[in-house]
Amino acid sequence: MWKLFFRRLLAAVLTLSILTVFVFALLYLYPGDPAERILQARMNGELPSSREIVEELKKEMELDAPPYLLYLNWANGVLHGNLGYSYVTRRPAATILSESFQATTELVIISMLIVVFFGLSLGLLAAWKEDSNIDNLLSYLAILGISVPGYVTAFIFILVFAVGLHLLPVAGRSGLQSMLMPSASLSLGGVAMLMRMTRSDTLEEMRQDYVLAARAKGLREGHILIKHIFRNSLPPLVTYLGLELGGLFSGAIIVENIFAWPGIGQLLVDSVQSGDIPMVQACVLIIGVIFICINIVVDLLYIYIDPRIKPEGVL
Amino acid sequence: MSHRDLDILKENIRGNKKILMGSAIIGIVLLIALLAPLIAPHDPGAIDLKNRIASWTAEYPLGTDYMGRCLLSMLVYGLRLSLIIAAMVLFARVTLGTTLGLIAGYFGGTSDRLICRIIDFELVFPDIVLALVLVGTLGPGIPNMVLALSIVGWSKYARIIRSTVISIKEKGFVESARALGVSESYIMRKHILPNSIAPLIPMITLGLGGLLLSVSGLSFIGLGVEAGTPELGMMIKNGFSAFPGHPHLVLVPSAVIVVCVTGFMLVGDGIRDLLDPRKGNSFNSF
Repeated sequence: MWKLFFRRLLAAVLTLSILTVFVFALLYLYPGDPAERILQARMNGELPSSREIVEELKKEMELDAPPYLLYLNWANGVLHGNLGYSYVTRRPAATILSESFQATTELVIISMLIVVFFGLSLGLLAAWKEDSNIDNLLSYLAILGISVPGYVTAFIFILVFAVGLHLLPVAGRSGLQSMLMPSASLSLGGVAMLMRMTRSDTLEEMRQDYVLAARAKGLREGHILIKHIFRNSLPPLVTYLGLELGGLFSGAIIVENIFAWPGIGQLLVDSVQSGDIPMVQACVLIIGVIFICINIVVDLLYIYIDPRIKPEGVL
Repeated sequence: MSHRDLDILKENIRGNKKILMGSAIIGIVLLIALLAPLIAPHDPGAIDLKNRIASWTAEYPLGTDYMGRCLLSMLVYGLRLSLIIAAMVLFARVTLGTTLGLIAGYFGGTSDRLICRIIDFELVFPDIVLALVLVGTLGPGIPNMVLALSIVGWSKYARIIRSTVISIKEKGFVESARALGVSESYIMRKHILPNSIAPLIPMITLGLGGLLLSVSGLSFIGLGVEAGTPELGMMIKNGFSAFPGHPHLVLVPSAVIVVCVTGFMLVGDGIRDLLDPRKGNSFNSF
């Protein structure tokens, strides 16, 4: 277990270092001179008036140094929690990021709870009533749920609950009420996916011999479904939930923009559009770290749930 | 997965309701996209400032948007463009994924380890984040968007191809081809590749649906096509600026996207049911 843990950790560190190189390279991928862009971002899009200002800034920020030195410098800063300063607001990127991170995490946790609760229970219901009308209806609803993007659900929710019924605020972040529509539209696709997976995995388990044995012992059907079948169909579902958690973070990008939710997604889009490279780097880095952590946890959970699995590489 | 499975698939496609419904939707959608110049009553870019956000008239069957552009014409051309972009990206992703998966699976060793490491990295990181950062860096526009979306999202194809190739390359017919002195590249192209393609079929159909969502999603947040391009996501973005005042400007293009994606999802899902009878609905024919 520990050996595996350290091997995973090592792989994660490797992935993370590839990520940091990519993140750092963004500075050079942007067209134009970095120093000019910094000034442009600081002056609300106006081009710097003279060449001297640009040169001065270059000297000040040591932008003429070779890229690998700049990278090491930057990476050293990152390791010490210094993600640089926003070009636009000039506040520390780490501070801005932690505020947004909190907002996004709130949204993602609520959405995850919705996904787990509705996905599992509807999936079990569909498997329980296999080939009935309910099962068929749920199966088509699932395809619809996967095909409807979060932003479309969001529009419909806004029209019905905010504009039509005046029940919920249209946008912004003000308490639990304002969280309902964003998290509901964010989680719909996940509910549909988890429901389908729960259904198919449960059905597969239902055909196993041990279910027959349990029935022969005279156990109640409900008991068999929950204690025997469901428990055995958990491992693939846990993997999926890990993916879904990541999916919620990336899905949040669009949903946050619709509901003006001040999270990482909105921060990332705003920073990309204004060319605020330190903020973009900070956002991509944190999203990468989140995904890498989720992967490690899922791998370890998988082994915990299903001890038969031999600690092998993912591929 | 073999030729036999493909034959079974062909036999069963007709009886599958999901595939039938999905194909009907895809057929209609493709027809509309193909016949766009005939269906659209106006040039999708033609601005008529006297008729802004007009309602349904004989001249503008679905009304106009905030610039007085014909909504129906924009929808038809937007659908066409979204489909073209999605298809281009899908083609690039599948080609890239298949090539790398084939190399990794067939040759093994160092190339396998290297490619697997890249796949690992690509799988860990969310496609849409990398794509939007790349589009933001390179600037909006169709070529940049296609490029950004093609660099990501190929690893799932590579992984499937790799594992299929590994299981196929030890089979008798490959061994005998090798014993006959057939060249490696011939074996890869003529023996291994055709036999590893089948599991990609449902993935490709589902992938196209997913890509339509990514393409319109990127355009919607302003990091996709350039402003003014008739594309479904861009239409939603434009409509959203007048939202919720004129909800149809947002809901009509949204509905078109949902219908399209549903079509591809139904077909992909149906094929997967057929290929993998243990999952999803049970088909007695197996």
